[in-house]
Amino acid sequence: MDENDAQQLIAEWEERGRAIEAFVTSTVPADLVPITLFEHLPYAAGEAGE
Amino acid sequence: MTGLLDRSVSELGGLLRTRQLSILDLVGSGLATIEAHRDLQAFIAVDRDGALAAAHALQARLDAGDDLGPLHGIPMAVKDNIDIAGQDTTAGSILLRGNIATRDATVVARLRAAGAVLIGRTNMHELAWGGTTDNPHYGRARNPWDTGRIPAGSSGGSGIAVAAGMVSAALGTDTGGSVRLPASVNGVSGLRPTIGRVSTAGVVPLAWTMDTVGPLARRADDVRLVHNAIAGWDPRDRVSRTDAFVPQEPAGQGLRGLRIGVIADYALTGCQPDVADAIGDALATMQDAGAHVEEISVPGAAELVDAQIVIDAVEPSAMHVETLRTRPQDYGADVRTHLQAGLVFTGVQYVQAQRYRAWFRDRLLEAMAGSPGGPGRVDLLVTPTLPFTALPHGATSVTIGGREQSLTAGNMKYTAIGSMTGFPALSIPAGFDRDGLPIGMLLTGRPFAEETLLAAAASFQTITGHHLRAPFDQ
Repeated sequence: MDENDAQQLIAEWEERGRAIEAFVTSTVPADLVPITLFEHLPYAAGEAGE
Repeated sequence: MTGLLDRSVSELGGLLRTRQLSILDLVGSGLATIEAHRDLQAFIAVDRDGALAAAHALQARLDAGDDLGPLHGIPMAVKDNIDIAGQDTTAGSILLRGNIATRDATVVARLRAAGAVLIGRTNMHELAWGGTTDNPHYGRARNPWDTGRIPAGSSGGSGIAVAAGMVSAALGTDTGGSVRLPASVNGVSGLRPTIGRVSTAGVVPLAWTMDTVGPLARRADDVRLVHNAIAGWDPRDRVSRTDAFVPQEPAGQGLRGLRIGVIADYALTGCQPDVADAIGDALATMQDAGAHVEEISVPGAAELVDAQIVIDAVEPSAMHVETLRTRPQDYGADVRTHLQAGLVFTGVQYVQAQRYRAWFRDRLLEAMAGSPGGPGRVDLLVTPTLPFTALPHGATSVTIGGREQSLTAGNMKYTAIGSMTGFPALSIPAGFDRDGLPIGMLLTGRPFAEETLLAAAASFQTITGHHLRAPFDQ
């Protein structure tokens, strides 16, 4: 990966970071908590939706 | 298929138990195939002496009637970021050279207890942070279907080792797609389990909230055997699910009555035409076998890769922040760029990406649950594993739906569903493109519903032969 490729990648990823920040800020309810490292202990991902 | 280790684990087990073959025959076949295809750079280290000693010991136990089960005597390989006591766990990096493991990773201990013979440590993308397995320190791994192309990654060596018949099965790790991607482009089956189902203790981390360990094998039935051996609660892993894991038997219903969801305006868009055609054909095959296929709408699917890039970049950069400052020259160029890129995201962006995961997980479960007057409940989702087949070595970007993007982001288009939700996902062979390169189909299921995916895949593999084609048959 040369310097040009690296700069292009970083620019793309910075844009993705801004995009997800804007999406969540405008879409996701304020009381929704983030996924955490210990989400699965003992409550496993999505089991409530089973 | 002509190689000994291209046969199913159950067939090999039958030959071992009727004394038509010995464990030494199997291990010898694997070692000879590795030697014959050294150019593929599938392994970082081959433990010839250890494998032969294990073969002798396991044969003696089998002869004495001490049968450890279906993996007894079966040659396997382990990715180089997984601890084997007494061996160097480098994770494909020179930063970790000399990192001799003092104990087995939990998954390795469980494979040993099940009687598997560990032949060696497979090549991988440096530190698991990329999808080419073009490792600057241990060699460029090559796709056995076309050595001018990548085997994907980061578990590229594990994909090659299975596809080339060097082993019956291998372990990989999957954070953003690193089991599923090499399964797809090497023409084999590979499972990312639900987060918490399989212990990651003794595995070099990449991104703590996304890391998993999963098996690759030619057949879904063999993936099941390995998954059953390694799954279950582990007190060494704080994310591990605490309730008992009951090894699954093949589910009886197969495809009949299975309800398959296809995410509208997402699942089959922006793919190479041959990929979209192969997945369309596979869906038709499953319908003919009694499955119901319907489109479902899932809000937020277009944001999956944005969220994944943030988390997949920030967490490794947090882990490597000190060595990135003190030893930047010891990283390969692309991994150093990935790690530097992870430093540009803000704390707010990271938290919002983690909140997106919780939000999207709920939206996906709602969509899969169905609605009155709308689509019914679906058991699993079908997409391609990748929008494209194996790329030439050196590619750093791809164009998907008219948008040029980094290869890392392009790789994530479909694997992000499982990585972001934590749900299980299984890639299986679904056909070949016009150049004879394998195409993978990705089945993504509800949390802890690995068996639903494995049963559907096994049923699909009873009526199709894509998984039986091997690279050297051509």
